[in-house]
Amino acid sequence: MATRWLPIDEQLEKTLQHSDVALLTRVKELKEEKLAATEVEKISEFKVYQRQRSKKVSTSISVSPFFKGDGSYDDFTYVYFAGAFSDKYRITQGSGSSIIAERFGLGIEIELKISNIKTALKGGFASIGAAIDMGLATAEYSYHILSLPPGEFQSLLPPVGQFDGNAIDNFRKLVEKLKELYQSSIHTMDLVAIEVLMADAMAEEGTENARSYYFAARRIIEGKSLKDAVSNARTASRQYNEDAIQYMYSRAGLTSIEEKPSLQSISLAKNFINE
Amino acid sequence: MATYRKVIPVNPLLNEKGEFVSLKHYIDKPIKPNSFAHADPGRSDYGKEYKLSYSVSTKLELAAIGGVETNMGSTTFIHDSIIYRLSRHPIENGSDIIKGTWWGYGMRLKVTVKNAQFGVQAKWLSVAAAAQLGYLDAEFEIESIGLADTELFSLLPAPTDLNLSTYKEILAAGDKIRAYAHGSDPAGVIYKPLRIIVDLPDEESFDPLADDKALIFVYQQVSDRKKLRDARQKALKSNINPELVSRFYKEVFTIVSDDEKPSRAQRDEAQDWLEA
Repeated sequence: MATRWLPIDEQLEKTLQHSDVALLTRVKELKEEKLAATEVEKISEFKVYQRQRSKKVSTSISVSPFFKGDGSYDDFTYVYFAGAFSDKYRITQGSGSSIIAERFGLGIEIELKISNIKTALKGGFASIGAAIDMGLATAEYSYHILSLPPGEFQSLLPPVGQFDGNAIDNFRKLVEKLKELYQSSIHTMDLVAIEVLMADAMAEEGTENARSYYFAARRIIEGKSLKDAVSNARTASRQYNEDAIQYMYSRAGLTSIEEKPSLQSISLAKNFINE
Repeated sequence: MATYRKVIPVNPLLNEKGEFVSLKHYIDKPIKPNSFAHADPGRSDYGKEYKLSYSVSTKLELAAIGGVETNMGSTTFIHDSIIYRLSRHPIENGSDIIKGTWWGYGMRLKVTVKNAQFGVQAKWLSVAAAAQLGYLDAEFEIESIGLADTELFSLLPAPTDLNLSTYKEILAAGDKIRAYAHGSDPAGVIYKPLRIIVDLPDEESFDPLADDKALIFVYQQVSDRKKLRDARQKALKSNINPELVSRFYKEVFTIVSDDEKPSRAQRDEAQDWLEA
């Protein structure tokens, strides 16, 4: 139902492989396309973001971290982008395609993927760097400079195969340098396709979690804490959405994972399932 | 349902017909902004912090801005700081959803909180502290909209940990962009539709789980082999929308007639569903 700008990257191609082949073809074409500096409408938007994706959270059956480091993450990925976009969107014609708009610009994208995590990572690059240095996690990175600016920045690229705790600092220096180079030549540069606006299928709000809410309401009525409800859910033959369970608990007024439901919480849960 | 008037942030992208792209899937009718040509000449200055989450925001709000995580564990804070001109010019052939449009330029800062530990209430000022302590994951996004000066490039923050000091830096980058937008005549400004005025259901009466509740109710009725007519009547007493009951009788059990009794097989199916 909702829409969102998605970067044209491997993740997008992977998603489309399973859902929309026509769109995948279009995305591949887009990767080859360019707007020459002479055709460029003026740059009118600057954008920077840093996002985090964890494998399990992006699926519809979500496993929630009730307390950080409870082992529910196997891996996660940071994505950073800084760049600028032209004012001109290209609206994709035709039906049957879920791309709505294509957007050209320039910038840098950095992806840092942490996997094989063998320790509780309490967030933060410092702890991640330390875990990598001690062999408690492995990391892969990729960077993508979309539309190359003239000027020297190659010496700041991280050395091949030597990713360690310092890499984030190195990337920071690289980004600062690229910003400088872009700034001085932005109006004479070619732009490349960077993002597509897509209907956000994953965020479709239906009633797919109804059963998880029902499950949670039942556990509240039985007087179980959230922690017990979640361990019940994890051993059940059916899959339940732990975010939904958590939400039902907070809706019934509970605020910690060990807390037993009060009479009032039980009556709210009963009301929800019409009892 | 009681409604109240609210100004909500919107994704400024319009398609070739001048309709909001982000709202295209929200409703069948095209939704256009009120025309910029007829906007009030006076510029106004506006700053607002706004919180969006699945549990407190309506579908219209989530659709309008787009790109907001809609799972239950996420909250998105949006800080809009914009210079705008208001248009209330009647929209031709449009839907009647939009009562006014704010055309403007400026800065939009989003902080998204994900995977928060149960019971941790995310607030603007405490986000960084909570992230630093590992209670939640935080993401940020800063957009300058409708501003062309390349000087803004240097204001974008580099990759960073979200902790107390860097969070301040990120907010400070936002402040700088805002200061820039508020300059007397920034070069190359482009006005974009950034906020729309709409009527939303009263927060008191809005329930994001209304559909789920009705679906559970339908399974319960079918497990008792209740006719659609009886189920609808009972729904009214339980404060459930009878239209939703009809919808789920049809969608889940293909029952459309008021007098049709669910079959034994359907009863078993419903009982199995309710096994939890």
